[in-house]
Amino acid sequence: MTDLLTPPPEQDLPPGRAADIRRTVLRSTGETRRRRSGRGVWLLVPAVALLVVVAVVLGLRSPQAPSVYASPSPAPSTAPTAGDGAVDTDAGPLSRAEAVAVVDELRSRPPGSRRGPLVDVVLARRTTTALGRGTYVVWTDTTGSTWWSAHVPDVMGVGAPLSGPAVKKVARAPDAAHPVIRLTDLVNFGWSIDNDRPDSTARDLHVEGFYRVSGAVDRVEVRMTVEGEPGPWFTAPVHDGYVFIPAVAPGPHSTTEHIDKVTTIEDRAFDHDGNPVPVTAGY
Amino acid sequence: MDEEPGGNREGRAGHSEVMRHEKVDVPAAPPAADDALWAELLSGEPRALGELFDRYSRQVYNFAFRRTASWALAEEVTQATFVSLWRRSRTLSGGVENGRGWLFGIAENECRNAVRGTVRADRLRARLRDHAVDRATVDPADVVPGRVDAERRMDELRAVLARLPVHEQRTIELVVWSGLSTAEAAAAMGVAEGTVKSRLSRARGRLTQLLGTPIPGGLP
Repeated sequence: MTDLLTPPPEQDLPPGRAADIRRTVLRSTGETRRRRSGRGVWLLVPAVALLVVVAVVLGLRSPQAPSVYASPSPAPSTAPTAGDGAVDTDAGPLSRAEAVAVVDELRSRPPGSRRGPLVDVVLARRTTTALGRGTYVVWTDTTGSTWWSAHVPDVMGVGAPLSGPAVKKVARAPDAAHPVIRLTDLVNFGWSIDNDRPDSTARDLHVEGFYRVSGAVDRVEVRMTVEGEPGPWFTAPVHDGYVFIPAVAPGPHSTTEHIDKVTTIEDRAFDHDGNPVPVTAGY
Repeated sequence: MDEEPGGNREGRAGHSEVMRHEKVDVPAAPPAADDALWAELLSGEPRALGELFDRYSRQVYNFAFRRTASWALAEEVTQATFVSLWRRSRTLSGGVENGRGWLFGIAENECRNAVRGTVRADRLRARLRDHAVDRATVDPADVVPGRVDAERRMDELRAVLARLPVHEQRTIELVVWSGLSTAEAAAAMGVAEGTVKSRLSRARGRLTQLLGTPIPGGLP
């Protein structure tokens, strides 16, 4: 070993996290067993089938989807039609007790200490996609800030997010000129790579769009296009001026390119008359 | 910063820097009982997974940190690695010749997953650089000093290592930093043991040249 290439000293997993991760890992063994025994599979198959059908339909309507990776456009890339068969991802409210537990757990992790004690749960909902169920919570704290966090389905199938719960401050409000504020960076999306073929097969592509919208906005939609094949638009109802939309493309996607080079993510929004309205980045 | 994980670091150093010497904790060789444990895992026994987690999660965690230069990502990789280990064990036909090498091979893939899937961190760093965010705007309460320092240092170290070919970087990470035997590293990378040895030798030569000073004691 050389003096010049000595990495920082090794560390233990943070106190509490090791036990959390261990629990999650061991829970996954039960998950796998349930899946292998067939329970739940019949529920998943129709969902995937539905996505495929919708994707095919939209694919016929949207043949000009870009085939190279690009930043999401605030303007619709295809002739928009409000309510165009988009997949609803909302799965009902989360109880206040569950929301409070989520916030408490997030505050217990560094750098959670900067966030003050919970004042109020603004919004807490469940979500559902072909990859599973998730939650998101918007809350205010004693520092006067509004925060949000989304627990998206774990693509590894254990009910916890692969990328960890993102916690962000809600910093920008919509106005007449900017009726839709995108609070997430849509370029940040995730996927899982087959361990046996790490560079040729990707699956479970997912991206989450979170928006703050004015009263003029009726709906927001997000979709992914992989190798020129547009997936369905995903949407969710507006609740208290917020919209959280998990969009997925389960795959598997076989490609000779890195998946991020051949995937495009788009979002679009409409007013109550079905007219498109601009989406503004505000994360 | 309003975002986690990894939101409180400055951009990569972008230059090499001579490091002070610190002794690295080289993990002990796997105990003989490992073979039975791996066999138990392959037979579908969750208890074996728990035991392997207790035995190797720290090694995987630190391996992932050295790869990603992020403690938060390393936590995610650790979890994903052991979940993936279980799933792979349920579909694997035959036995495992080198369990720890196999585990690190999975960790290697999960690191790649995590880094590719977390474009956010890089974009955040870019924004920090582009907008020249004042350090004073970072709330000290967000920072765990030792961990942040380690992340910065690892960033710098990775900038040095990035000057080697990727397969030599991987070899250094597995053998030199994580203490795997050449046989285990070979299993992790899916190459012959002799290939690992020759990569080590070439990496040593390249590093000596790059750093402008002989590597004391050489690489193992």
